[in-house]
Amino acid sequence: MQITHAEARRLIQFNADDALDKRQTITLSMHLKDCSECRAYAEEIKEVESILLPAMRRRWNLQPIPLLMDTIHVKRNTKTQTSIILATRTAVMSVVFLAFIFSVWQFSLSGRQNPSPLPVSIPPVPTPSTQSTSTKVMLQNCEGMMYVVQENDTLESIAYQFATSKEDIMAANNMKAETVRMAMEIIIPVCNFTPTGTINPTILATTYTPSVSPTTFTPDG
Amino acid sequence: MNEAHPSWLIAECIAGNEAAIEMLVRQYESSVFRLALSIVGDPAEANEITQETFIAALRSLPGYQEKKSFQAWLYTIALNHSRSHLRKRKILERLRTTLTTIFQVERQKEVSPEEAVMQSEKEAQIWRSLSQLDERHRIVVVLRYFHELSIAEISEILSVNEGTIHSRLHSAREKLRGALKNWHGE
Repeated sequence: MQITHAEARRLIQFNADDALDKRQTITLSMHLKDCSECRAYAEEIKEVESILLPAMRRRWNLQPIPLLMDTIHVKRNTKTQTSIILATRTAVMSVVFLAFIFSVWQFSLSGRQNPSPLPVSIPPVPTPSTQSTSTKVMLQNCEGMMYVVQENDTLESIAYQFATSKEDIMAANNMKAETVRMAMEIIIPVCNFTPTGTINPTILATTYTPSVSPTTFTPDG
Repeated sequence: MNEAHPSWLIAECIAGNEAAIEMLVRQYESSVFRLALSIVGDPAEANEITQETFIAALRSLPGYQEKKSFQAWLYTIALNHSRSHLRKRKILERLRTTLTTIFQVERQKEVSPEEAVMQSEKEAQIWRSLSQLDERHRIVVVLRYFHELSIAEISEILSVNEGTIHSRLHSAREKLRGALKNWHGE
């Protein structure tokens, strides 16, 4: 079978790769027998290979310094441990973050659902003296506290509970009547009192005890 | 390359058997070193790469699947580490060049260590021509001639089809042949 010079050169290259089958080998041999140009090409390729391999061996045929197995074990384990530590740290941080988000969410929900008043400290009421004179007080630094009306609550009982007056509660809530309903939300004014004289002994308790008979607080004595 | 690594040896290495690990390392240490050396050209760096290769291989061993031969898998890791070192070296070289330019420092002509061991001018010519090949062509020549790997093995290591390997080898040989012919013509 006749082949061109280009095909022959291609076969010469594949021959250098040990990639020719039997038929191709025979075809190439027959061409090279009669073609001096392709024979010269094949010789040049062989010369390149004959120089290349010894040059590489001379340069690279060294022996390595034997690896220290201790070093390999330590570095392999260190990298593994570092990965584990990083992974654990990431997991813990993620849990903490999620817990924080969850608690914020729960806190925001509890404000709407909880019927109990918000945990606000009620400022102390001055201890009543035994003198029977009446007293004027001035209301200063009032803040509003949200309260949800419970069953059997009246405006009077609520006022007594928070040491304030029905009138103050009605004023704080723009109420025209003393009527309150269960689950109604009202603002309880919590104020810092500045006594301008002695206090009427019939005045307020600091703690809410519904069984005690309510006493009306009259600022004007 | 004698690839005597029954699956049990790899399994033992994964289980942390230190004797098995040492057996595996000793079996492939020299060939990995020579592969690294043929790419980076520096024995000290090649030693470093050899160590890095085995550390990486031992860590990745649980993920090794027998689709690829173990040698090809190991050589791939060594090749990647070698290329990484070359990239870092190029960055340092560029930095050095920049600093040299800035500070007008005269660099002494460095004698190439390869030239010192060349036995003949022909060899020097071939070696210069090999160094001038781009990395894709040079690596196939090195793997084929120095490491005596088959086309199939080279294809596996480089994750490139065999036709491409043939093409790169043919092109590289053609360039080396041309360099030698030019030398003959001088």
